Amino acid sequence: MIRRQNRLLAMLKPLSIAMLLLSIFSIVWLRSSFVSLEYSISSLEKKKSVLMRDRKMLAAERASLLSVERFEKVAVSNTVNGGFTFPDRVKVVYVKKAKDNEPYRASFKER
Amino acid sequence: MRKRAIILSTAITFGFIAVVFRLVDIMLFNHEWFSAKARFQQVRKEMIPVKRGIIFDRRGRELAINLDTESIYCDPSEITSPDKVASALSERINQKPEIILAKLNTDRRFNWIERKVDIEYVQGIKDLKLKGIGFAPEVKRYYPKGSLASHVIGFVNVDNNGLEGVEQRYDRYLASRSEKAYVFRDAKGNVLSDGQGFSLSREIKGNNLVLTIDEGLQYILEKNLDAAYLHWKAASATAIMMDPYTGEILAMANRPTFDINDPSNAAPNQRRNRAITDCYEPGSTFKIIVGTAALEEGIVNPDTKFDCSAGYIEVGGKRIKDDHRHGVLSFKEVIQKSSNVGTIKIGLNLGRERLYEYIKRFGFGEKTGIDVAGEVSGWVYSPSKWSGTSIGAISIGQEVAVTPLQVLRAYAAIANGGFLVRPYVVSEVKSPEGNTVYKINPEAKRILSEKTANVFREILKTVTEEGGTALEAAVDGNQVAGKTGTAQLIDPKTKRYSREKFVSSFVGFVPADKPKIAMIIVIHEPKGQIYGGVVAAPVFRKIASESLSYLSVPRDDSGEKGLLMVSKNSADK
Repeated sequence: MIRRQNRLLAMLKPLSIAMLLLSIFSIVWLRSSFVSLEYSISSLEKKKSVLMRDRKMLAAERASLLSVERFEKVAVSNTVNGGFTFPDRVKVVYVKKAKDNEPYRASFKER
Repeated sequence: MRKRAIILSTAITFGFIAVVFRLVDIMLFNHEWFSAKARFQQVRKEMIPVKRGIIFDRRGRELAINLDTESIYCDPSEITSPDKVASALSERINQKPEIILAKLNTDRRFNWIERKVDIEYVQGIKDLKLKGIGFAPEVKRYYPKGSLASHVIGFVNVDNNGLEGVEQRYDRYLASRSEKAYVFRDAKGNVLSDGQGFSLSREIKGNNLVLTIDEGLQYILEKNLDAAYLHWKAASATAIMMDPYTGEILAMANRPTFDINDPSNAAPNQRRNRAITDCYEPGSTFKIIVGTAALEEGIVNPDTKFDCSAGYIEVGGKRIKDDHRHGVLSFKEVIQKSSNVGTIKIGLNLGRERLYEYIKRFGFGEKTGIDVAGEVSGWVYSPSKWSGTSIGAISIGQEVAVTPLQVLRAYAAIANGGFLVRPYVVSEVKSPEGNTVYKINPEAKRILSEKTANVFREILKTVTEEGGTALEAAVDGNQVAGKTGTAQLIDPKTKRYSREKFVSSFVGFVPADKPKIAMIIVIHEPKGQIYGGVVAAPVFRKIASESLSYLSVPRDDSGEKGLLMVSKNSADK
């Protein structure tokens, strides 16, 4: 009985040291994983900020390209269609909004 | 052997004990001191970039946005060969090497080399890995439409503080307070982020502005104003377009102008918003005051006759002439033909006090209250300070100083049936999330009866018809109501009215019966021609014609031809 107890004690000693070492390494491993994760997050944030910056640059370019001044210049100098001109108001037909509860019809005279 | 083992194990034991003592010292006794030291080495204070709000036009098109840039700075104490650094930098940024060298050769530990450099150039400099050269992220204001609406939008300084226009007036809404954040950095300066606190992509945004300006109308107005300014070799030119019912400014421009992306290269003369800061004697466009006052007071009706056959009238010992001798004119014709004699006769019937009262009613001599920085009130003397000739001179738009916006507002009151409106350029302030922070309520007060406004509108229509002074202002398809003005400028040398320098103007609204736009064109010192009907009226016609197309306003005759009426059969539903 005593021999068995001594053997158990003898085993417990290295086991507890191993446990201690394991827990220390676990903490260190956890800590290093955490730091590595922090680096990853920070790297992704950096990428995000570069992408956001690019998006802003593209938005600025889009705003410049969509200017009315540019539209007109492009339209006037459109050689494929012989260049656009400003609409002749005599040729513009305005369509008045449909009214309900009336038969469907179209006319140039106001009713 | 055993002795050695004892010595080794004793040494290891003491070593461990020493380590344990040291750990106890670090973690228990001097914990605070070491924590503080670690924080000092690892934690850095970062400023979160502040971005001004975006400025949109009335249809949501961006007029002012922000770009990410970086500023380059140096620590001269760390630079070993300033000549090489200056030369390398000079190749990549638009600065002379001598200027950069002067910044590198100072005793200070920090010097800006160039603020707000485009990212593409910065990367090239970063690749050089120059010692003592650092980079700080900054936000640059960018106006994608260049000089369009420059006087309305204004601009900011290098620290992004609004200096002119709505950038200044609404600075407290657009700007936001900067915030600090603390970040963990390693020995190489890399950021360690826990994903919750400071983020590299985080930014603080100001509120956005929605203007009443329409980019399309602004472009049409500026394009035609530019052409007129160059054609007449004018000293300056101004045009404003307004919704006469609400006071919303749809477009506003001045010439000369400037590029708001580069305001430092513009002269103060180019930066001035003449529409609200420059006063002039309005000349005949001011006859609206005498005319409406006389109608409102029942002194005249459209057919009341005035004998203008002499071609001149003497007031306080001064002779004031008509350009052409007219004969007997009705009240309507006095305005249509812009007779000075007829207008002065009406002014004399009205009397000093009533004339002054109506001038004030129309808001002259006071700021309109427009929400753009720099507005002046102009001046109108009270009758006690008038000379004997004043009642005659003021009736025809002399001896008063007004801004183009004040004159436009007065005509808008005729257009909208008798209400004086408060002009404005910002309709709404929105939070970055899109919630309304502030919304303008249009202000208007009645200054004339609807009847007087309607009668006078009919009279103003005749100005652009056969026999009127502004045939050139007539728009094909829609009737225009308005008035020309040709005012002499004071010659600074002689202190008398110049015979060569004039201000030509036209102010009106279209379509006359249901106005969509009210507009004023003022051309200062045109060369070759002087009359408002010749110089300014054609500009009005061109702008109005294109603007009505842009706004899809049907022609007045579209009811008979060109308006397709479509109605839906209820059975189809």
